[in-house]
Amino acid sequence: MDDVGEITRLLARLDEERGAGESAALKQLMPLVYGELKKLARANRHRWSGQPAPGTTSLVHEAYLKLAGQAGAGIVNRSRFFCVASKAMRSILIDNARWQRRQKRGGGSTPLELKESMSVSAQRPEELLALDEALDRLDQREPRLARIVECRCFGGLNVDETAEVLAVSPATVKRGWSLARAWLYRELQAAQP
Amino acid sequence: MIQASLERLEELLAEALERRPEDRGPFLDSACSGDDPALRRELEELLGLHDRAAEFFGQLESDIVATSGLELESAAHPRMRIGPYRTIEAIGHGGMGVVFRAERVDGTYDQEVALKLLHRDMDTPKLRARFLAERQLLAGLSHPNIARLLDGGVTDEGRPYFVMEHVAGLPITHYCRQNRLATEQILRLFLAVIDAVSYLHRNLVVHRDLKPSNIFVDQSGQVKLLDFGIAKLLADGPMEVGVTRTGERLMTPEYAAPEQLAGMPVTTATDVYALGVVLYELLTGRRPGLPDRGTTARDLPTRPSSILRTRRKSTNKAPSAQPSGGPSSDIAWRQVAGDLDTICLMALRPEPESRYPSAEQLGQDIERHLQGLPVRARKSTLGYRIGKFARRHRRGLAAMTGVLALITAGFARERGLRTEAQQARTEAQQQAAKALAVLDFLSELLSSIDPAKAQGKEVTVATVLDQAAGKIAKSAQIRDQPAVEAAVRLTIGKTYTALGKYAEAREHLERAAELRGGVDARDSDALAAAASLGDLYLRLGRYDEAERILHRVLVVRTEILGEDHPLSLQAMNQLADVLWAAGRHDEVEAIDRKTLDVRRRLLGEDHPDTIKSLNGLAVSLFIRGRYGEAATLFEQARAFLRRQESDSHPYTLALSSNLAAAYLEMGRYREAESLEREVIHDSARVLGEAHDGTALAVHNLGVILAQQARYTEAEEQLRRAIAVRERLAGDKRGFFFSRSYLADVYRDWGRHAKAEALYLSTLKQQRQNFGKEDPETLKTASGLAELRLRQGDRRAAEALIVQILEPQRGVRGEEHPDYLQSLMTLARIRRAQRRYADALKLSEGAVAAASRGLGANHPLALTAALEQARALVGQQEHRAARDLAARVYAGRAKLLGDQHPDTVEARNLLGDLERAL
Repeated sequence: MDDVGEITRLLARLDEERGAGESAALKQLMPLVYGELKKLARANRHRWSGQPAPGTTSLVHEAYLKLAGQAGAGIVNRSRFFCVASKAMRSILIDNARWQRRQKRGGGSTPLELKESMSVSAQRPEELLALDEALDRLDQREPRLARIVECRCFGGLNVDETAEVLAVSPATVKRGWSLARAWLYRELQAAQP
Repeated sequence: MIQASLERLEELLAEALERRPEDRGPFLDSACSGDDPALRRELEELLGLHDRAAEFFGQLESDIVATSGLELESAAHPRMRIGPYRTIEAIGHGGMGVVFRAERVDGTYDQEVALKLLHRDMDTPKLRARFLAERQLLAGLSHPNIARLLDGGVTDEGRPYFVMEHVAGLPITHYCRQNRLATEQILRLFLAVIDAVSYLHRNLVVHRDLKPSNIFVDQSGQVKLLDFGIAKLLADGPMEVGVTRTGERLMTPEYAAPEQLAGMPVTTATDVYALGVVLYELLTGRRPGLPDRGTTARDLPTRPSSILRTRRKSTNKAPSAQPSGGPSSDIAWRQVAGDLDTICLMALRPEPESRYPSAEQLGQDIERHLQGLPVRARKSTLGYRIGKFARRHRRGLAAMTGVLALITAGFARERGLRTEAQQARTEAQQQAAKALAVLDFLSELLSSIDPAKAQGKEVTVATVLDQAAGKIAKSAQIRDQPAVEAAVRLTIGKTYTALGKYAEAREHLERAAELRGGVDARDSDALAAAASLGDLYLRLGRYDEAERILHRVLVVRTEILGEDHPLSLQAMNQLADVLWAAGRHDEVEAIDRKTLDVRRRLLGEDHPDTIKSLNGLAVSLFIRGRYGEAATLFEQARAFLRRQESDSHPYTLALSSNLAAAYLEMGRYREAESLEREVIHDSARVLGEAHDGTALAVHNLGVILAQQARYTEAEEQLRRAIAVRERLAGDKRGFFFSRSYLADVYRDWGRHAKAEALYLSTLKQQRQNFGKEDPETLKTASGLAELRLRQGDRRAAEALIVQILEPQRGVRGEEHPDYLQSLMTLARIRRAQRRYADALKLSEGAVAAASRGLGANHPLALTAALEQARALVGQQEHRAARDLAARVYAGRAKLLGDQHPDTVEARNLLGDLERAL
């Protein structure tokens, strides 16, 4: 089975299973979505010639469209996918920031193919990596807030979309987002040399 | 440091942020009085970080999100040389080209200019023509508020470009916000925009893409209109059509008028709509058409003043919590309430004809408001709202097939008309009997044949008829008297028609008409013969001939008898049947209305025939998806009937049931449900629980519940209907129909195993009892195919649906919802197989058929269009898909309201596409 088919299947499994089965499915799902997003980004880069190339937001949406297109309407759980894709986008951007940091330090292996279309502006890899670590800490204390940050910041989802993905009200998202931002910002300040 | 519970922090932080900065200290004092002082300290710290954190994340977000192709193009071509110009940076991109800030190389013109260059890969003949048309159009315009055309040419590669004055400034929304303009200043500025647009309209140009990013305010405060990329000369002939369509695909959905989204003709009122959106945004900081969560769907956007008022209530939110693009906070809702509300909403009406006809009138009203004079928009508002009621909502297709059972079991379109036809037949028979004493026996015999009662005895009747027909040829008595022969043949022919023996009927009726001097004769017997022949041709599907004959009968009868005569009405209704069968629904509606009108006049509002006419018209509107109008008529009919009959009279019950169906289709679930429950209650009392009528109402209640995704309750009601229908005598069609629908419910509920078992057993029995090609058997099979697809078994789904399509088209016709459903299932299968071109072809076919049969804005047509959009996505045609999704979204939002799941589905797809582009 191809990746898209496998992603569809795993997403469906997420809906049915709870607990161990769920997290096993998630574990298998992440690298596939990661790969799929990278593939899309690469395709977009090569396709680019006068059309606007997409940022992360549109990548997530485009990936969803592709998935839904091949799975038939309404069959893919949109919220689930956006949630997973936001996570995947987070790790793509973080991996890329790591690579950028290595480049800066003069080291580095082969460049990731995504750097043109997906890197956060070059001077910020340190900030992004610090954010990633802080976000892990937030995740340990309050996973719900970490999900909001992933959706808003990495998935590029707006408040309403985030609310839909996390099945809460937009007001809840706004509140959580306010706290998470301030909290993370404080962590970043503290982490600065 | 011991950190306080994040949940508690979140709550207090949100509450504190809702207060003004100076009130936050006291709030924290009182809120944290019982808590650990550490909590209070942490809160204070986080509050202090709030603004900087918001800024940091805002920046980060835009860094992550904003990598756009624009930057890439300009990065790829830093300081390109184009003709005598050198580019400095890319500053924008329209549908067809990139816009650069540029300067002249030779320094002959020292101002910076804006240079628009056609995209390399958009250099198709069509778009090139469009691009040059824009240049041409700009050359003819000269207005202080319109960016001037300075130059134009072709690059070395042959790509056309043109040069305009460069407007260094801000989009009007940003300008107003940044300068914190007061309402009056905003309106004065907006009047300059209107002035420019009026100038366009006077020059027969429609801009078609007015939006803040095309309306700049320069450093001197001067408004400049930009980007005429899809502007259109109203005087353009049909030659331009292809190009125009391309243009329509390029517009910006948020500012596009409904008619633009629907691909309908564009007028100056289209720009008025966009101006309305811009004004709305200037006043409220957001665009209309995004109703607050939790509010019910409206036909018009929320009044601008309500938005400001609501916002005022939650004062002093953090800046980041304000909607982006928010207005100067100085705008008080009181300034906007009243006139400005009315002006905005009038500009934003969905129907172009009820907006301001041009920008100039909109401007005049704003002027009047500024001068304190009464505005013109106000007057018509109440009438408008009332008139609007009937056109509001409609509903998706899933319900339709389930509910149609109700309608046929209620009152068929022709019920009233049939009675007339039967009367006429009896009359004719009596006449024949009177005039032809010789054939008394025959006439008696024939007139005793009631096709409804003749079931099972058909052979006998047919035999008698055949004998009678044989006698005519031999009887010298008859042969010598053409009038007698004609009358006898007419009687025999009509009876054959009623028995469905059309070939035999045709022989006699054609001969009868011929004997009467052909179908063009004018005496009453000749007309009767012609009318019967017309009726027969209708049944034979020879619509053109039927129409010609019946139309003439109608004309002559109207001339001789007057239009109110029963025979004229009869002809009119026969003609309506032909038109209906030929798919000419608009004309049928006119006739239905005419009949209703005559009956109202002659018989009175509350005569049973008038009520039947009302119901007939309503049913035909319903079938065409015009549920709102149908509901109004059902309501009227029901009200008249209830004056004379009890609520539990079978006719009243049927009308209530029809009304509930209309409510269901309109998404008015609560009303539909309570009405249907009443019907069930009365019906159970009068007819008994174990009656088909009651069971039908219970089935429909199940449908109503299922449409609201209340599956558990739906299951209960459907099981109840099934239990009754199983015990009823007869062919058990209803029993299987309910089971089939229950299987659909299980499928949509995600209970695939249950759905499968039910589909399989129902399908087996339907096949045994009614045959493989019975329409209801086919519908069940089609549902099963959709289930197979959802189970991921594309192969089985495909094998099944391929068997169904042809027979279904045969028995149902190309425009029937059942067939269209199957087409769409096949399209989804093709999509899952990544055969996008095939999926596209299928869904296009479905859209065309649904639009033909039901109208382009019928729920089913919209569903098909959405399927088409998904196929386009597969083809990587994201723009076309986006525009189609926008159309479906606009259509569904209008019909179903903004909160309906179908609307949300379309909005999600549209949103995904917007962001993918």
